[in-house]
Amino acid sequence: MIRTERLNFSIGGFALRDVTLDVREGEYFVLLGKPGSGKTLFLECVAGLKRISSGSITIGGRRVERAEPRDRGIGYVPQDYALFTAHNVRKNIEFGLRVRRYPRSRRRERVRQLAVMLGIEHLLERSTEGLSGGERQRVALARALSAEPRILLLDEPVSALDDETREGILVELRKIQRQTKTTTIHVCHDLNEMRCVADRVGILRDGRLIQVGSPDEVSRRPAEPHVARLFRLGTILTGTARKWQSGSEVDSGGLTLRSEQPADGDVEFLIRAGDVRLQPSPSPEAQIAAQVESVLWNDSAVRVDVQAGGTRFRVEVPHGQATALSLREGMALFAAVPPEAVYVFQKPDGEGSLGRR
Amino acid sequence: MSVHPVTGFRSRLFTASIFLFLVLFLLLVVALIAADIGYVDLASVKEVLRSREIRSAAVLSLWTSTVTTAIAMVFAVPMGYALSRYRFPGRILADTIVDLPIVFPPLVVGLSLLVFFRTRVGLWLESMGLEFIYQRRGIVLAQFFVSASYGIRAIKTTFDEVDRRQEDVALTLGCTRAQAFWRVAVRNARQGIVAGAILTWARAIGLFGPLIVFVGAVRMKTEVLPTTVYLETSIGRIEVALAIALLLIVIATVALILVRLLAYPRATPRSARRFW
Repeated sequence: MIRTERLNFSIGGFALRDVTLDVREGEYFVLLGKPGSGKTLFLECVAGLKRISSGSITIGGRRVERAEPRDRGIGYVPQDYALFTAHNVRKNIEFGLRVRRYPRSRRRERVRQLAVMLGIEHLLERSTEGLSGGERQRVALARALSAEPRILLLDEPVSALDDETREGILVELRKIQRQTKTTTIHVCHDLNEMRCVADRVGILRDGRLIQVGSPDEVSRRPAEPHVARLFRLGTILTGTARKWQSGSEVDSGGLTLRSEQPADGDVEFLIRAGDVRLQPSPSPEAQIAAQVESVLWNDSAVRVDVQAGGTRFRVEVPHGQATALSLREGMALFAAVPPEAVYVFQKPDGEGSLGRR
Repeated sequence: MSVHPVTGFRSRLFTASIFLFLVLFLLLVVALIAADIGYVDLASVKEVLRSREIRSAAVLSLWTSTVTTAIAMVFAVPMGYALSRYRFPGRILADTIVDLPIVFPPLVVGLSLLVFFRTRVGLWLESMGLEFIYQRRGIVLAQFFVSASYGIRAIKTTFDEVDRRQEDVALTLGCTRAQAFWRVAVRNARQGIVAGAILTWARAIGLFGPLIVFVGAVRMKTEVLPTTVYLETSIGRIEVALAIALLLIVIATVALILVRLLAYPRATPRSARRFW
């Protein structure tokens, strides 16, 4: 549905470089990256608000890199929503319909339909001043959807909202996207936000698209340490690998760990925080003596930083297990790090790698 | 319950010191006007109000300054937008040239216009029927050159402050660039455009120096109120000159208040707070 091929764009000292991406029809695609990675610029290039220096953009089989924004069939919600402050909510939503000369009755019906869908009927005659963040977001979304675009481009649509409103809006966004079957590109820097909505995710780093896949695929096989950090998969360490059976054995500090992946030489590897187990006493699997350095309880799990053999890594423990272990700082435990918890970053030829970014 | 922050002694002292400057300035202006009023006798006021020539000068002043403002806005809105929104070679130079008429002594503008209409281009324009020297349209031309910069500067500053993203969104909603300009940018900048128009008009109606040089002070033809003040002063009729100046002040004050009331029905900006 949307295809960019070797898209290049530069501004100041920053550049989007050779971004090739294929977003399928009806897909909810999230472009994830740290602030400054080029996400907004990419969206503006697709929207036609920035003229690309080279490459191509195809929407619905039609090359559009020279087409004006209005001819691209897109709905766009910028980060700060950019509501028309000179108009009330109704006129904001019907702005695009007026420009496209929809008859009055059709305009009113479409505005009513969108207002019902987004729960903002009571706001229609209000000025945009004084709307809450969530209300502004809904108005911006209704405005973007008004002319039934084929593509919806959302730039950090919930970043300015509080946690509760954000979750509600994300659920609604997903629901609306399924209802309208609008192909959507949503850019954000928040992992939880991405997990709430994404069919597939692309990781942008310093203007380059470094990996595309479903959230699970990317979690399972992060292309680079940067992706693992962004997905908060665990601790990235460096070490020396040697072949062991069909996988490898990696030495790092005083630790020797096994991985299912073959590797040789200096490597960077990930210890998956969720796959490490902590036990109060040693067992055949849990032989690594570890000391708890810090314990942080959050919504989904308990993050425990441990020190083992001169190496520090993070473990994620379910709440129930953390309570059973009576986790506290300074506590001595035993860690089981199974081969599936150790992921060695691969070079394209399959060899282990260090500093291949 | 008050929406204003709690104010202690220091805050009140700060507010009082700010208002001190405002009050001082207002007192100075009012003192000047009061001195004029005190100097003028009733006979001079009656003479001014009854004089056909002075009435004609007042009408001409109002008419020319309004036409000048309209023409200046036709230039100022797109120019302010271009200077604010586009980056182009020579932008800084263009921006500086826009400000030049502000720093030019107004008399020099009159002289420059006289000289220009003695060049080949100027003579050619005159031969095409576009005569300006000692003509009413010359008043508008001189007023335009001196006062348009004020409007352009004010409007450019307003466009700088208007959120460009709203125009971007308008483009994705089906607008051409021109439609986004009219429907979003101009609409959002309307208060600044009115402010620019007020500045331009105020500068134009009080203009005197270049008019004396470029169009002269021909009674019932090119004489505007500021030139009448000059003429009356030059023959020693100070009371009458001041009475005319007061008439000019009344006209300008009424006009400016009317425009403000019409253009800013909600006069208090959101950032305003109670002063005490």
